[in-house]
This record gives sequence, C-alpha cells and structure tokens, in this order.
Amino acid sequence: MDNRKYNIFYIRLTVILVIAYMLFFQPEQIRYQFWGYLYVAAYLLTNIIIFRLPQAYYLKPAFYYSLVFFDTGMIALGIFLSNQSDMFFYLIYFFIIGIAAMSMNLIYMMLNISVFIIVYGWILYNEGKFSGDLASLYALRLPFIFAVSLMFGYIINRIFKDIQKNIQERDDKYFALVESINSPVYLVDEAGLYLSVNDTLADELQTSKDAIRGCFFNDFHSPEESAVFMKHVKQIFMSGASRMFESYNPQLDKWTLRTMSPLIDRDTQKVQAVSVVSKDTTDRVKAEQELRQAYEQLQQTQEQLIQKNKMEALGRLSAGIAHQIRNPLEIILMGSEFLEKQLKGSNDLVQMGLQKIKSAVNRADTIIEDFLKFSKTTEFQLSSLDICPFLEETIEMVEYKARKRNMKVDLDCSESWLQVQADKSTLQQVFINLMNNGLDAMSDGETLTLRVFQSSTLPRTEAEQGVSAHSQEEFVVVQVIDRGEGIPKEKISQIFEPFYTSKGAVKGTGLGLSIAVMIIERHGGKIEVKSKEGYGSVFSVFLRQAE
Amino acid sequence: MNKLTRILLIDDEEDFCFFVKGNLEASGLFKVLAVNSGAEGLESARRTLPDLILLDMVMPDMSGDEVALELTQDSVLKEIPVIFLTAIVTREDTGNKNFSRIGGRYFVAKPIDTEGLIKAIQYVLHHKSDQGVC
Repeated sequence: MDNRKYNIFYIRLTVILVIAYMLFFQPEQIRYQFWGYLYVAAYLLTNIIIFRLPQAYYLKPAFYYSLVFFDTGMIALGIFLSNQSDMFFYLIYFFIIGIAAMSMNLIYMMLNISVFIIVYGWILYNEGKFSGDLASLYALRLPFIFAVSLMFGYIINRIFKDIQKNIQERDDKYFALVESINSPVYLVDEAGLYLSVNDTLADELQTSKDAIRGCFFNDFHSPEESAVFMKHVKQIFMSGASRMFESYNPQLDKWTLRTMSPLIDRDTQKVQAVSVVSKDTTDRVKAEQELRQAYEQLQQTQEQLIQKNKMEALGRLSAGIAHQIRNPLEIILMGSEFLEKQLKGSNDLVQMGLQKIKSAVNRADTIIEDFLKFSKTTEFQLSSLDICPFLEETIEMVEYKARKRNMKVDLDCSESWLQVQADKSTLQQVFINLMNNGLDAMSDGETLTLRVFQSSTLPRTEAEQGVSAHSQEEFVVVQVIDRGEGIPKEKISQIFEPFYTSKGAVKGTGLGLSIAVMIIERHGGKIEVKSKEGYGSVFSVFLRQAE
Repeated sequence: MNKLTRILLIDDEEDFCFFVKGNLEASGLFKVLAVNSGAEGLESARRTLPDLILLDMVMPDMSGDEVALELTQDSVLKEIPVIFLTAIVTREDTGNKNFSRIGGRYFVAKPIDTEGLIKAIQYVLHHKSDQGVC
C-alpha cells in the first residue's frame, strides 16, 4: 500500500521530465517560452503536493480518476506548448493506456478521451494541420484515438469485471460457509477488536453484527477469560501459528473451545488478524468429568471388592486350614508330651529336643490363631468412645513391652473431648497392633508418639481436594508415629496385604495389619500410611466422629 | 487305690487318640477308652457308661454335634458330661483359658496340652450338675 504513493510520484516525475525535455531541447521552436517554464514549475509543484497528501487519498478510486483527468490535460497542454504535437504524437498512446487502466467505469473513461480528442483536435487545427496534403491523415487521428481507447478500455473493463465477479463469488461462498457454521466465528485484531463476525456470534451476544464490530473481546467476556484469550492472540501475532485452547467461565459455568488461526497478509507475510471459531464444549467437558469420576469410583470400588473378596476367601480358607492343621499339630503336641513322660529320666538332650518340638507347635498354633481371628466375623458393638482415655488405657497394654526395652509411648491428646464411633475391643486390637509394630521398628530407648486431632485440621493434598464425598466427612485421626527404619517405597503398597511381614517368621504372621485394616474399614474409617526410609513411619487411623 | 475316672474319647484321628490315652492314663487318674467314629462312640457309651466323654467336633461319619444330640436324647446317657474338642474355636473364644462354656457346652480348643486337658476334665466333673441346664 505504501508503494503506491512513491510509484505515482516517480511516474509523474518521469512524465514531467520528458515534457520538460520536449520544451527545452529546441528552445527556439517554443511559442511561449515563459509559459513553458511556468508550466514545468506548476507541474512539479502539483507532484509535490500530491506526494504530501495523506495515505488515505491513495485508497480512493475518485482520486485516481481525478489524477488521470488532470494529467491528461497537463500532458496535452505540454505538447501544445512544445509546438511539436506532430513529433510527439506517440505519447498519446501512453495516455490511452493509462486511461484504459482506469477504465473500471467505461463511460467515464470515454468522456475523458472525448475531452482529450477535442483538445487535440483544437491543437491540430491551430497548427493548420487540417489543411494541406496530409489533412485527411491528421483528421483520421481523432477517431483512431477514440477507437483504440474504446477497444483497450473495453477489454480491460471486462477483465476487471470478471475478476471482480470471481472475487465476489468467492466472498459469497466463504460468507455462506461462515454463516452456516453453528458456532461463533469471528476475526479480531491484535487488540482484540472484532473485525468481522457471523450471525451465530451476534445471536449469542444478543446484539447486531454491526454493533459487535467496533467492540472488543473484553466487552463481552470476563477479565480472566479475556486475559487468557489475549495471551493467545498475542502468541499468534508473534508466531503466526494456529492454536487451540479451552477455557472455563465460572460465572456462566461454561466451557469454550476456541480454534484460532492467523490471517496472513499476502504482501507483507505478517499476521493481520486472528480468526476464531469458538465452540461450547460444556456438555462434553462435564460428561468427561463425570465419566472420569465414575471411572475413578469404579476403580476404587473394584479395588475394594477385590480386597474384600480376597479377605473373604482367606477367611473361608483359614477356617478350613486351621482345622486341618490343628489336628496333626495336636497329635504332635500330645505325642511329644507322651514321649516326655515315657522317656522321663533319659538324658537332657532328648528332653530339650521335645521342648523344641512343643514350642514349634505353639508357634504354628499362633499363626492359626491369627488366621481364625481374621476369618471370624465378630459382632460389632459400636458406641461412642472417648478417644483419649481409650488410648491411655490401650497404651498401658503395651507399656510392659516398651519398658522392657527402655522405650516410651507418648500421647498427644490436646483435643481431649473428641469421641469416636467404635467397637472398643476390636479397636483396641488395632492400636495394640500398630503400637507393637511401631515399637518393633524402633531401637531401644526411643519414644513412640500417638497424636489425636480432627481431619479438618489436616492439610489437604491435591488428590483429596477432588470431589469425593468421603474426604469431606469429619474424622478423628489418630496417628501412630515411630522414628524407626521406615518402610521402603516399593513395599508401602504391600504392607496391608495378608502375610506380609518384615519381622521374620518367628515374630509375626503378617496378618496383623490386614486385620487392622479390615476392622477399621468395618468402622467406616481408613488407615493411611506415610513413611520415609531411615526416618520412620506415620500410620493415620481415620475414625468416624461420634455425633 | 482310688477308682479311676473312666473317659470315652471319640475322635477319628487314631494317632491323636493313642497319645491322649497315653498321656491321660500316665497321670494315673484316668482310664481311657478311645474309639474312632461317632457310631462306635455311641455304642461304647451305651455299653460302658463312662464318667465323661471327650468328643471331636469334626468327624467323617457323624459330627460331634450329631453324636451329642443322640446322647442327650438318651435318658441315661444324657447325664454324662461331654467336652467338645475342636480346632475351630480360637484361644480368644475360650477367653485364653483351657476351655470355655458356650451355649451350655464345654469346648476345649485344639491344640491343648495334657495339663490343660486334665484341668478341664476335672473342672467339668466338678461342675457336673451344671451340665444340660441350657
């Protein structure tokens, strides 16, 4: 666009120089020398004035028509002044071509040519060219100019019209396409100003298309959404690449997916505007969210079911196994006692061996005992339980064990009024188990800590901020904190599995924690564990608060 | 010499019977007759009228329950105290004692050492009059 101004300026300057050459190459021939100088000066002045005109003029067809009309007159005047109209007749072809190029309006152009012919005819007549031998030759020039102008003008006019028609048809197609899309489609500039919009957007914003043009994106959208939108617009202006983003409007509870592409100027290859197709994806996003939630819930339920099935199967199995194993165990025990009596007075080694057999039987029986505990479905007696006195009582049960190793169990019970819904004896079993585990994990002389607080005071992790109703319920949390060796990361998921034990076969059966989990789950609570190798573990027992 | 307490042991495990009989008799307090099935047990009970019956809960031909039912239906045999031997009760069920009384019946959890079994037998014989109240 900028080039037009310079092109016009240089073309006219060339024309002025050629006419100046015509005027001053053979000055003796010039009729009005003074007028000749004035003419060149005036023509140069007009060129400077036109060059100084604002850019906007160069975009108007009327400006070009006026310019052609004016220059036609000026060139004709120059030829007249040079007194060499004869010799520079060929210059007329340039006028014709120039004028024809402006022949968007054929009638206007022919009017222009007619004026030129009259002026040219007058010049020829003035020079006496219409008399003498060559009179008919000069006279024929006038209709010839008219015919040639008409021919070129018509051809160029037709080509223009065809091009225009093609453009119009293409525009119509695109327009129909854009209007047929049942989603808002619009163009915005770098500042977010609407340049062009479709009916759907107008309908959506409940105003007219004209009203929207001239408004900015942030006139219709929240500051947050606008900020995000403008960030993407700026990115596109910088990179020239398309992008897609989904944003949420909390006021309208609406999700929108916007596909944004740059509109690139063919000449400058710069981004001119950004086209946007926006789509309301609220239903899809919501459906996706629901699906994800349902899936997560399903997964959770499935895991719980698997765990439950495992436990039930184990329960049935253990009752059977207990019976099957206990009978032969009984025989071994009775047998060793029998031998003891029969071999009374034999050497100590035999008696020692028999004692070892008996203690092995007792060990095996302990495992079976755990199995059976696991399989039993004891009746639960849920009642309101003051958690702090309860824990104090339970701690007494492990204190003997702790004292033997010079260890301590601390209870941090600042919220002493807290009550839970629980079956006292099974819950006691759980805490005895957890405390025993904690004591076993630590070295002699260390302290195990129990801490009681409400779940609402617990900082929520991101995962817990989700939609699960479970996490919103108020729980009383009892943490059993040991400063022991901790649980390796890869073992964390295994510790609640039946038969997992880190204590070795002599000390544990690996059923304690799985029984504890089962008991707490039956209380409607849960057990969570956090552990760091070398630093210790925290077992958090979540129990329903008594109403 | 004191009269020995006559005990009928009904348990399908022959080896178990062998050792229990040996151990109980070694104490010098008991005379034990051991049989290996419920039917045999009933027959022996009728024939010998023992002072006490040790009855296994799980046996192939008749369960301890069924044997006990038949015993209680007999006007003579129902007076004989019965101790069930079972591997299904846990020590917790028996309150960490050698035996427990559940629903009017005495249970001894397997495995049990001889000393515990003798204590249970003596206890039950001592509280003979309680039997069958429930």
